[in-house]
Amino acid sequence: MNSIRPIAWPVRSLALLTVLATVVLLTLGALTTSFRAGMADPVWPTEPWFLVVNGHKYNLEQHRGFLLEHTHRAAGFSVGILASLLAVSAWSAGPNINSRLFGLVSIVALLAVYGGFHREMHVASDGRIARQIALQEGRIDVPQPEVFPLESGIATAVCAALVLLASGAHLATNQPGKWVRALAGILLVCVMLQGLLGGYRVYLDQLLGPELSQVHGTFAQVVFATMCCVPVLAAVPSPERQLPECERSRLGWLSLALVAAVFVQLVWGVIVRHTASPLAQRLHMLTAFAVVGIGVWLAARAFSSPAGRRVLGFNIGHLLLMFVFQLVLGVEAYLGKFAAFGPQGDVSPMARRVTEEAGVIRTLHVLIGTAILASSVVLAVRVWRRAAPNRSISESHSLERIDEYETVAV
Amino acid sequence: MISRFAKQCGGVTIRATELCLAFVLCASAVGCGVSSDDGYDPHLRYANRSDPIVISVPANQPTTAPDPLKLDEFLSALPSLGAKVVLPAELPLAQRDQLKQSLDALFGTPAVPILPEGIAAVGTLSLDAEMLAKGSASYRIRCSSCHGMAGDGKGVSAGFPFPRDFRSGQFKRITGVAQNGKPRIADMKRVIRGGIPGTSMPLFDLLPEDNVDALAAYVIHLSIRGEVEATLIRRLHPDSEEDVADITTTARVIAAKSHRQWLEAQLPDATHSQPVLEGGMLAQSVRQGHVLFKANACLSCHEAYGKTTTYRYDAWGLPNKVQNLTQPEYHWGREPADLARHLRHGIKPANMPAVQMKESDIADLVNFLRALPFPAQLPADVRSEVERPATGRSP
Repeated sequence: MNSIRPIAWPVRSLALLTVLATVVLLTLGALTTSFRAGMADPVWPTEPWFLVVNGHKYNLEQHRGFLLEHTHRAAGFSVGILASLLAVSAWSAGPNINSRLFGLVSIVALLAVYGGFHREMHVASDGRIARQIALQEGRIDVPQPEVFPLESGIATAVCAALVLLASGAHLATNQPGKWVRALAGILLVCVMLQGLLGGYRVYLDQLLGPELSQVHGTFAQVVFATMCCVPVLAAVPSPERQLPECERSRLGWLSLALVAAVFVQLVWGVIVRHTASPLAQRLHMLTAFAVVGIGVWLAARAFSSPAGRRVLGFNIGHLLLMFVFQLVLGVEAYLGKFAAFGPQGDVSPMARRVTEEAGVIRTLHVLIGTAILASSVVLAVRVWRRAAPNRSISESHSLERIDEYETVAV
Repeated sequence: MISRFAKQCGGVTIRATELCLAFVLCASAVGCGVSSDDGYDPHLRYANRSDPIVISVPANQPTTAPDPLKLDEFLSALPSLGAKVVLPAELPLAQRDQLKQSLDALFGTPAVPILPEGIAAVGTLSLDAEMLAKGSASYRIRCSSCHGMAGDGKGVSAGFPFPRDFRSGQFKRITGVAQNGKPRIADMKRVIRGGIPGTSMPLFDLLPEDNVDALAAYVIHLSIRGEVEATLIRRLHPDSEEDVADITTTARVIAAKSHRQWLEAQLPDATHSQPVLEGGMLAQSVRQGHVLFKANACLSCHEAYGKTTTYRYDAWGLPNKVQNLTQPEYHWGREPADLARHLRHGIKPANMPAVQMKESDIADLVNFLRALPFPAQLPADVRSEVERPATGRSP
């Protein structure tokens, strides 16, 4: 009896590549925030090839923040391209022609419309530069370009909704690999949204200040954690890598509690990075206790059974290791930011210049935090994932009975 | 099948809704008052000035600009390069404390900024406590990360070119007839609204007018406060020959003088009238402007018309990259009136001298500068000279 691999290896490889590219993107984004370079270039959008064409004009020492921010933008474009390819390739392999067509058409439409939206934003940006020159020259008669191109924006939103609808409807079917396809579609929308959040953080800084950067930073973690699930779901675990039902009931809700606690911890961390909120500082530290507590509890429960050790041992083991690193980095990051010493001892923490060492430590702290969230989510997926018995190829063509790998929705 | 489909859809939808709700609830914590952006913490005080006050810059010009992350080290090294500086740390501790108390009493705190009695307005711009508080809150969100809490230009996000240090009371964009270093309110608002192309100074063209007014008012507050502090530090320094009987009284006098300068600066300069030329007459004017450009030693700083990367110290002791005149992006725009003003008065904080020329020569030079970024607009002989390869240093 042959078992069907619901997701072809090129899609799995592409999913992995997208995750790796996103790690690079997250690293650059974290460095941008750590070194407070988010507004190093107040012009947005810029072309994806901006650095290729203009990079020679900038000096790494003098323009570190500018180059960092633009490299982050370039990495964002790369992740966008990979997410687009992933979505198209995942849906291209769908077993049912109707859902395949619906998915592909909505994705291609979204890509086309989003491209148009981005073009209009470029035109608006050029208009802004022209307005800037006019304002410099004392002329206030030049009209304000559109902050948000309404028509193409609405069209993009409609196409995004179609993609989400296609993904949601696909989840309601019994097609093999449905979760991978659905997630690929959802991720494409999320990556686009994240890109817009980053761009509008720059474009609307004068009105919103750093508020949007907090949403941008939080959403990045969510998108990355979701993205990590795709290669996991695309893989075909052997039967001995499945948790028995009794283990699932012992570990299921605890794994979700860990995800929730890590996410809340992360949100406080985002606020600490971007604002001077004393409440967030305290909650970030207190929630760390909760996260470690739940993590250790989950580890103890998982390791108390052979099945738990076998299936989740590696995942939990490296999660606990990351906790250790994260705590140490957290202490160093806190001291670097809030302890008053040296020439900047008189200056409030948010106003202190960031040394290279402090910037790197904060960035590592953010990245490990991101990895912890992603690991927690993957752990939860592994806990809740259920495998149905393998079916023959002829049986598998009956859509009602295809149930190759079905993950219970969390 | 339909009921199963609906059940599954329902199940997925419910779970998805729960997740989204959880996300929204958590993410809303980001904006529901947990982050404080209404203004500075009321307990915050302006820090004592600790960076050197540059009296004169080194004789040898710099070959590069410092890493923005290492600005403190660069400024500390200026005396070894021949700069004359005054170090606030060399003041006796008792005097530093007294100075801080006087400044706090006269200028308030970042959250509640005030100005000494008698300084109520500059032109039509009110400098009352309400306006300053509004400006301070806006400044904290929009400006302090680059310009610093005290307006020192060394904020946490400050990059190169370095943001303006307001504390010396000197500004570059000045269209007033007094040319005393202070800008007109209209100049400040133009910079706030229009930003500065080629730098990290963004546009604030979406801000309401009252917000822009408040920002301008607060910048004036920081400038006057900074000037008072710097002047007092210089006078209180052990090497100073001046005597300061009472710090608070002296501070009031200095603040009043600075305020007078702000008031004098509001009178606009005479409008430059640039004759509109075309064809052969324009070409001749451009050619003449080129001759004047070389005759007035402009090439000594704008080497190869600015194509060679060169740096010059500015009044704050920081290296500035000399403008590449062959690029159309100028920090202060390319209007004939602006170019003529820069030529007529120089740009003092940038150590660009004024040219001593009659108006017709200035008009020729302006025509040359406006044509310089566009080779097609240059006469052939001028173009060949301008396009000669620069023996440039890399950026």
